[in-house]
Amino acid sequence: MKAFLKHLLGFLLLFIVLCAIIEFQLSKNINNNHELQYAEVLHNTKHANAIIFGASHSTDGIRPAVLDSLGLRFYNFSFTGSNPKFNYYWYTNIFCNYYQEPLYCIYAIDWKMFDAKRKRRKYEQDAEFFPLWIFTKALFNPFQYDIRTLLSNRFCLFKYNTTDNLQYIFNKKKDYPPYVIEEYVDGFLPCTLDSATRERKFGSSDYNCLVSQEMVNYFQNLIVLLQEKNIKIIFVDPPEYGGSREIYEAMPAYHVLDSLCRINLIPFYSYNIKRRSFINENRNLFTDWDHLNSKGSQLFSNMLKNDLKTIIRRF
Amino acid sequence: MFFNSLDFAIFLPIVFFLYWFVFNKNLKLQNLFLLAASYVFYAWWDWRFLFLLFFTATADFFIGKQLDKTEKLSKRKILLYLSLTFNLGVLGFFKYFNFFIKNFSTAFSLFGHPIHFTGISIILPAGISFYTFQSLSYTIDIYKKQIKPSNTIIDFLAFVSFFPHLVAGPIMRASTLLPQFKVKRSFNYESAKDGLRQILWGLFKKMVVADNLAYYVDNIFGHYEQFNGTTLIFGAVFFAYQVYADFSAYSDIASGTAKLFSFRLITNFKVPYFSRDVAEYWRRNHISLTTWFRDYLYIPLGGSQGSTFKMIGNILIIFIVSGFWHGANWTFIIWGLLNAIYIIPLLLLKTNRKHLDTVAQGKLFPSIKEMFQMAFTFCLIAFGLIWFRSVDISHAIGYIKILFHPSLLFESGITGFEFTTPLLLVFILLEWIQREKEHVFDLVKLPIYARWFIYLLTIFVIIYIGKYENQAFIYFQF
Repeated sequence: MKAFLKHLLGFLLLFIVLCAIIEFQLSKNINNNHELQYAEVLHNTKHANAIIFGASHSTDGIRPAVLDSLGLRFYNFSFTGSNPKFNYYWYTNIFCNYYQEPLYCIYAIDWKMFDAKRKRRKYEQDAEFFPLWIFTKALFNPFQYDIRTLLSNRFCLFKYNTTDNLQYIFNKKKDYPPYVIEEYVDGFLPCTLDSATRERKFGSSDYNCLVSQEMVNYFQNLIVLLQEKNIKIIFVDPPEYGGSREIYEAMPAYHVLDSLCRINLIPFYSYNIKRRSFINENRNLFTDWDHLNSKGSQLFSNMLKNDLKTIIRRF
Repeated sequence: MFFNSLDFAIFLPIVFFLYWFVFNKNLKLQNLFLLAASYVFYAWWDWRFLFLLFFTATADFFIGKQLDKTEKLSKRKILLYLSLTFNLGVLGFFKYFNFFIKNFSTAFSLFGHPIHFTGISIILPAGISFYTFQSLSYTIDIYKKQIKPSNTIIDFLAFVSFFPHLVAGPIMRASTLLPQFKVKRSFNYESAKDGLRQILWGLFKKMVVADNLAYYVDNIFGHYEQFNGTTLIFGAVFFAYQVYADFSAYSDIASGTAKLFSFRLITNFKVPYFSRDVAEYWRRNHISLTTWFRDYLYIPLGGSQGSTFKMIGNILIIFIVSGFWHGANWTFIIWGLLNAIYIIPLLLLKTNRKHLDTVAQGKLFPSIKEMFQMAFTFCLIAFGLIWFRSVDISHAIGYIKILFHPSLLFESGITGFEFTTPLLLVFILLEWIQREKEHVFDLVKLPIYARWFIYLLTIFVIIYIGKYENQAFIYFQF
């Protein structure tokens, strides 16, 4: 038995050393925008007093630097694929523990946000970026968090375990396609797809989606939390390509959002319904049908800045 | 609990440690601990069915005791029928009830008397086909006076529910496994090392080979009407390897795990796709089930003795029953029937025992004739497996129709093969090189640094190419 355990431990040690080397290389070479967003929330360098929540359509679509000219300091904390449940956990566990209380929260909503099958980001999936104490706290709370997801996302070795990511072990690659990390500014990151991929991704929109009551509840709870701290919430619905006002108006998610706005007195700027513009009709301003490209995000951010001027003054 | 899950990765070291360091002083305690660990392993899936497992095994334990006590043939027969009725009744209810209800209903409708039977929603308990057969073989062996019954219920329950082979075999006989529970087990360094290697090879087969192939197989079989014949050939070949890699992986992990506890399970697969005829294939594939049917059905029916007509009948019966054992679906029955049809000419020509050794033994390459024989056998098996994989008869017929359509000569309409095909070829090559060994990682002749390099490489291949969606083993559903 002794010899067996000795050999086994020796082998495991070698394996752990190799894992540590790979982990080090991957964590050094894989840079993505979410890591930089976590760096901001944990180290508070911009001291933003206006934050942006949302999913990838907001990361790619809203430029905080443009909105800064309103006299506030904006930071975009939108995470790809995030839903209200993710935002609730992220806000209560990460943001509240590290960042200063903002004055404003621009919540970039969309009609898919209550559909857990479409917006699938889980809080546990960000375990890679968690400070050790937050990770440990979550690890010892198996009834609230999915431990398997938490563990497999803590280490780059397991999180980025695809053959495509093998290059990052050996190369000092900075980009994590389709993003160019150098273009990251205050949480905003334009999506840069080559034209062939863009055409393939464009496809057509499937407007069918579900409204999960669980997601609505999390969203309501988050609104209550923000409003309790006197953070002023503004709903913004970034423009999508195509569609029509009627299509969007008929969507169940908008009915939920309308009622939440009425109950909680939240201003709602929908750039797919009431504020539709030339942007919705110009395909050259989009990466795919629901993500603005760099040029589109510049135009939209300017448009949003002008619209926010009035509301912020009124607040 | 799946072997390819994080739960099992935590469960196994804990059981190993407690087994060898806490309960090693007392054999009874060690067996009791194995029983408890096995029940935890089973309950992880659904604790409610633990009672079924417990009652099935307990009933056979007491029937076995009564069988041993009495010499009166009529009473012994009653006890045997009781065991058969109980075990097959449980299996029949959970696995076949809805199938029979549905088919009775269809039959009555065909004769102009439509009767509407309503099926009931039944969950199929994991491993029921495996543990009922194992438990059943115990009472049959006692009836035939081939073994003595177990004295203690704990040993017997531990034998039936021994977690490495509980849910998907190999189906162990009481004569082979039960005695291992009766003797004090000492830790065997070489066996434990080999067990770990076999587990690693099993994980590679499951997570890298089977689950990567599963992606294409599910896609091709699920939307077969959208593809051309070439793609459907890929689908059939991939499924043949998926089902083999998946099931043999389970057997390897089961066997490797058992070795860690100083138990030996029988070898369930011996590179079946390197068989030169279908008879050889069935001697190498799912050996524990094949031999079970041979010993408890084929031979009692008369085997190959008697008239040609009777022999053909016996072959048809065991293959149809074997197909039905896999699932309550006509596709499995047709699959069984096809295999019987493949074997009958060999029996008639008396060439069914022509290939008892491993192909090209001691040589690196097979002869042209052997290559042709292996390819032909594989084609027959892969064709049969189309029925095995299809949802129903019309699905299988539709698939086969397109398979033999002129589009067969066209380029495949699915992408991603450029990665999966070389992966499969590497797997076949490794199996070929090590075909005379128990498993591919039987590498004792290599120096330690070379072996460790291979093991580490395999682990990283599993991490980077393996699938982590906790895909259930195919044979769990049986």
